[in-house]
Amino acid sequence: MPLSASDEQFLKTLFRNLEDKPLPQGDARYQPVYDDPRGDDPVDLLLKHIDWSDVSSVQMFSGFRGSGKTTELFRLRAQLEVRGYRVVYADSLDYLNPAEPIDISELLIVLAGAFDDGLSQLGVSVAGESYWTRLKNYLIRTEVEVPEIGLKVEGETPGQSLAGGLKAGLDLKLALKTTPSFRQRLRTVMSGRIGELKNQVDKFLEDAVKAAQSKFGNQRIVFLLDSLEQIRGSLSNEEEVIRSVERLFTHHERMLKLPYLHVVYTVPPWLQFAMPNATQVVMIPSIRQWNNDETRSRYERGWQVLHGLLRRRFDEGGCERFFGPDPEQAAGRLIALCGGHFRDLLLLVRETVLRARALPVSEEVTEAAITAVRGNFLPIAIEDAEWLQEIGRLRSAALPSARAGDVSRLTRFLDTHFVLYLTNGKEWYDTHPLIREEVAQIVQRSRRTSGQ
Amino acid sequence: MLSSDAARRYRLSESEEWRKLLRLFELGDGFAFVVLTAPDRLGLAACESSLAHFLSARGQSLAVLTTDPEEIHTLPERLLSLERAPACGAVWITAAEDGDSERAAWRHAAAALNQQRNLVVRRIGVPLIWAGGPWLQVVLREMAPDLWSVRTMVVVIEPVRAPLGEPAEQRRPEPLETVEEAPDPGLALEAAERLRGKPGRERQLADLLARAARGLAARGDTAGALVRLDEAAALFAGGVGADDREALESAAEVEALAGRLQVVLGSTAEAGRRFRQALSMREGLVGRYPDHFDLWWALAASYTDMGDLMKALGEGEPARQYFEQALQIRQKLVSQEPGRADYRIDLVKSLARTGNLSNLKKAEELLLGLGDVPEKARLLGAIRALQETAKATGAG
Repeated sequence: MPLSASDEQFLKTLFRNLEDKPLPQGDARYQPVYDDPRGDDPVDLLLKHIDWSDVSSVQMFSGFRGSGKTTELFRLRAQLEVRGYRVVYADSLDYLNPAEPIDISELLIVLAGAFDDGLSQLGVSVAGESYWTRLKNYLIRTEVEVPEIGLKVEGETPGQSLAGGLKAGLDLKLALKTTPSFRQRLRTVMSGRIGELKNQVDKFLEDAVKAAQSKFGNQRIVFLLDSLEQIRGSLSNEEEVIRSVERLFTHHERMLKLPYLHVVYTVPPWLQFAMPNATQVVMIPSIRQWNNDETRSRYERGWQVLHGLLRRRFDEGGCERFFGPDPEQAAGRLIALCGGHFRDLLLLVRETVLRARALPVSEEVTEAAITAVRGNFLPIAIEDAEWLQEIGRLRSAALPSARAGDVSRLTRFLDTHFVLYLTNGKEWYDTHPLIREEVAQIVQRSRRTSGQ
Repeated sequence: MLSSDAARRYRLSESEEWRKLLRLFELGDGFAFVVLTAPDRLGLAACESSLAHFLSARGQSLAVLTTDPEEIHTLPERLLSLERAPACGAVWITAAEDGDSERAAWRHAAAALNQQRNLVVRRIGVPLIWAGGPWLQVVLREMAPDLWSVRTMVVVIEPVRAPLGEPAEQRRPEPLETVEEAPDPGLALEAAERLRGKPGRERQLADLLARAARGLAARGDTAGALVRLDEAAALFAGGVGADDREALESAAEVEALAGRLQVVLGSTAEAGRRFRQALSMREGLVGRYPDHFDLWWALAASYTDMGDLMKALGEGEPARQYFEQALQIRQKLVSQEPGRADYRIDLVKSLARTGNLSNLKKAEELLLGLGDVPEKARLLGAIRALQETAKATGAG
């Protein structure tokens, strides 16, 4: 039967409910994912570490595109607040240009400045002046015995010159983000004074914590700095930018610890491949739908979570209206092929909604939707297919080397969901179910052609 | 306004993928990121025009960002600073590319826009349709993974293929002429009527009928074209100009054109008969006049017609053999007459038909070495899409 006016309205509401965006805490569409007692919940891991660390801690948090990172960060914030922590959240992209390399001096300044801005929003003022003003004054007082850079007035120090430009109306925060020449001069001025800058930042943060405590009592404070993983550079300087981020977390790890604060940095997921022996990164895995055995036997809990996610996007009775009297079975075909990725499941269902000409939708419509979304992954180059097949066979990343090219390629696989990152107490990898057959056929054809 | 060529070739109203896009406007609200692919500029223009028409019927407009080669690098800034009219229903970007430098520019633009993904999502507020050749999907996936990950859908538009064995609506057959290129059938028919019944004028009459048929075919009157071609063929078969090389060439052309029109109508058996007739005539002609390059050129066209038909019927090996014969002739022609751009274009088409990567590479190089020829952009797009497919399937 063709769609009635009521069907049209139903589909319109459903389509809008399938919109893919981070969910605020408490949203009815949020599907709890991590109530498995084995402790795969990344938010739980972060929380426990903060609880056990008492005074201060540093943690790194990551996830591939579409894994729900921002939603989980919001959940972490909510759970910390319930436990009595005071949480300051900042987006590093409000302070940094994601297309430019980042230096430790800039990050230290951003940490202090962003934390101060966050406290200001909570009504806390640190000694009556902002960090940005304090920094400006610090730069002006800085005396450096090196050839002048950007001198305007005889006898002026580089620090004065740098900050002097600000007196002409430049906002320091804005300059940091948008003026490459300013950043370069800042790096040059601070290059031999990182320790001093770190002390200055620590001193400010100490004052900030005291100011917060005088307002809120002895609440412990957690600082969440989001979006550092988005600092990636552009086509022309990607390698340089990635290396600069890597240096921050490998060479300057100690500098990332802030006194009296628990800090969580979101970091690029490739960091764990580039520095496997360094600080552990808490990663958001894909929802696991199968076990790591030869037959990929079904993992029921994962299926329940994904069914639950889907149900929450429908109104009462909506699942039956859309999928038919046995919605678990009908929706199961889409769930089986989503690879445990929310985004891919939403994409499959949206594609089905757009193709619906009658309700409930027919098997032909769901198959057409699957074919269309599978097409999004194609074409797959032969070399990629061979690596992907190895990953599927070994259930590991099968990384040929830690060289930038290989790490970048694996990250691309993970970011585009060709490869899934999974955990069941320990981490493993697998290929997306939508492309497994295609990958096998490509490799088979390639071997036939080359006479293997 | 949609050209008749575009309308006939794409028939968007019957396309499931197109309907899917329009459903987005009926069901959705706010920002959506749509990647739309079509194999050539005609298809992209057809989609842009049709969407504008659809939105206009809803009291909305389509904001189109111009993308001339020198403007591509400013696309991110222009998109983010776009002042949308209150009635704007969608934003359209066409990523056409004519060569390596344009493709590189699009890669840069995709990477630049990727960094602004959150801003794009917040600021645009209506569906953003980024349209281009099939290569666009790969470029966005690789160069703009953040933007790609929030795509609402990918719409893949393809020209309509008439199912074999079933009658198809009248439409202009490929790869024949456009309306602009083809003769005016009215004039030709009027002149033909003046010659009808006049002894000794049969050859001229046949030529005029063939001319009228070309014009009718370009305008989608396939049946009308076939009637005139059959009459012309009968005149030629009746002994008109039997020893006349040019008349025999014309007769073979009539058979070849009739064959292609039968393909359009889905009459594969009749198409095969006409193609074989044309092939036999042309083989005879090159046997008698081996130094006439244009006769070899026509023979290669007949081998290609047969190859296309065999391929459409699923006869892979016979198709391959016909294509191989056409390729050999065209390679010789290009070596003999390197200055003839039409010989080189046909060689490109023969190389592309083999489908293997090394020949596709040769085709691409040959095409890039050509000056400004009308089909260049379309063929480059098609070859690049074939290259991607060949890589994916491991063909050569």
